[in-house]
Amino acid sequence: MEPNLTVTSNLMIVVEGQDDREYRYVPGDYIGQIYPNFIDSRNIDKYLTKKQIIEFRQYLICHKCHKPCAGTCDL
Amino acid sequence: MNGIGIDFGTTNSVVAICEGRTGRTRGLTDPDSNLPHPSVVWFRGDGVEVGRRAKHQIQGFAEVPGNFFVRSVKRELGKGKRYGIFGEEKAASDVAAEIFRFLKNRAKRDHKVDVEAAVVTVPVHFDGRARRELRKAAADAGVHIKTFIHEPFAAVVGYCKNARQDITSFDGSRILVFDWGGGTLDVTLVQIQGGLLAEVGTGALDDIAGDRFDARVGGHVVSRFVETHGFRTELVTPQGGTRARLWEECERGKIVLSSRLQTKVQVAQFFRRGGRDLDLDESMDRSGFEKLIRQDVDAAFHIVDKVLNEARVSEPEVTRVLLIGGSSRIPVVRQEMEKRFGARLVEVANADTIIAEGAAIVAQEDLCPFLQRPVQIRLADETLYTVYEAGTLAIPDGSQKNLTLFCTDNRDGVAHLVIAERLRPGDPSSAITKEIVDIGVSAKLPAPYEHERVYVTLAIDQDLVLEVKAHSATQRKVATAEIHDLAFGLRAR
Repeated sequence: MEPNLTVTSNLMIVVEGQDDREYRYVPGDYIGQIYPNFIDSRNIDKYLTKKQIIEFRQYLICHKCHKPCAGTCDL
Repeated sequence: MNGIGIDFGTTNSVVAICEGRTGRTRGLTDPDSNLPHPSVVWFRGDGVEVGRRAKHQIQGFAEVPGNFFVRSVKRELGKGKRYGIFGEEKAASDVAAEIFRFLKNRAKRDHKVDVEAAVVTVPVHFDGRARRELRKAAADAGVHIKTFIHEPFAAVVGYCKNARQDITSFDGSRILVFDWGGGTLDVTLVQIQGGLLAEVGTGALDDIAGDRFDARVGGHVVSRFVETHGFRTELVTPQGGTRARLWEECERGKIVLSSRLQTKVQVAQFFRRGGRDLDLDESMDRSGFEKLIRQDVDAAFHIVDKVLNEARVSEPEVTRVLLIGGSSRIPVVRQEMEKRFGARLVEVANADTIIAEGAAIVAQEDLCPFLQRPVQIRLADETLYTVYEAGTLAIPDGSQKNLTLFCTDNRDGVAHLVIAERLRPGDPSSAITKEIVDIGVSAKLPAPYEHERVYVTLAIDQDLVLEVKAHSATQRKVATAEIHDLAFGLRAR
């Protein structure tokens, strides 16, 4: 049987002078621990990429089902 | 200047020369039999014999004290195997050195050819350690290896040059090489474009080849022997010299079944029971043999499919098919090939020496391997960063690349460096992962804008192995990896 799991890279090339943009590649579920103010609802769209926002929301505890359901409990 | 090529095989080995003046190539075979030399080494109390004489003496001397035979040493290179020979430990490379020494001496004695530097062929699966041991064995025998080249690739070079002299006349051809010898199956699809040869697909089966078939025949006849005499199976496990004689006989029987429908496998004094010697004498027919190896043959054709699929080439698009190696002569293999490729199947007249001849041409024309496909690193954002472009010459000088990366997610304390090779130009989805290198990083929460740095060095060494070394800024332990099965092309330096 073919595997359906793969190891993905967690490395990016360093671009000189762009250290301050490296946060854009940090997974959304982790970024809040490093940059707490970026996930503030007033800043989230400004700082996070679309992918990071999806990843961030994936692990939020739902106020309805009290699980990290990523909005699926209504389905 | 003449070029020398060496095909160091599991079962047979041969040197070839490409004459600089005429461009003619020829295999430096055994003048008596006109065949390559068997890769068999016979250690005797008073010296070492290699080749046909050693092979022929296995039956008579394998069980006589003071004699030690080594067959198929190529399979043991890079695996740390050591032989205890008359109280002295010898590494596999020491035994391989005896074969190189023999080839060198016989080339001089029989053909007046000096073998000092050569291009040596290796199977695609041969890893860095095996290549280093082969290089050491050659050096111990006074032979400098100029470069390695994959065996099937060498066969195509030899075929093209022998057939028409001019490779450009094959432009647009796709040649599939099915090289099934004693130790390995190598399948390679070579494309010829603009006078350049390039591997566009490679696949291999390690350890499923002629030696495996011999073992299957051995297992079969021994079980029949056990059945006939009503012994318990575990009682009859041939060891040492008996085992060597059995293998020798199974190999002979297997070869006979390629030309006849039936044969006998006979080993005198095979088993001693109740003070009486029992001979093994079992008949074997071709269909029975084909049943024994059916699953191996299926696995081999699965590799052919895989190579064609990877290269996105259908069977009708293959221009020619070269069958090389003893196991390719098995009728069931040939029939299956004929069914698939019909008239495009090429009868190679010099099939025993074509690989060495190809290597000799590479040596004479001083051709240099180049990377056929780009080598890339998969990044966290799922894009690919190209480290080596296709066409990069695979030479140690100038191939080193130093990269600085940063870890985007250090929670596990591990950074994953994913190295890939892109199969088709302009198609990022065709990139296949070749190696994943795990590098230790600090699992502590990084400070903003100070994500941990990972330093990576890549270099293609003299053995055509891509060496990768990496470490992080905080954890100094160096992670290493080797990639030995990249696809190459050949061009003038």
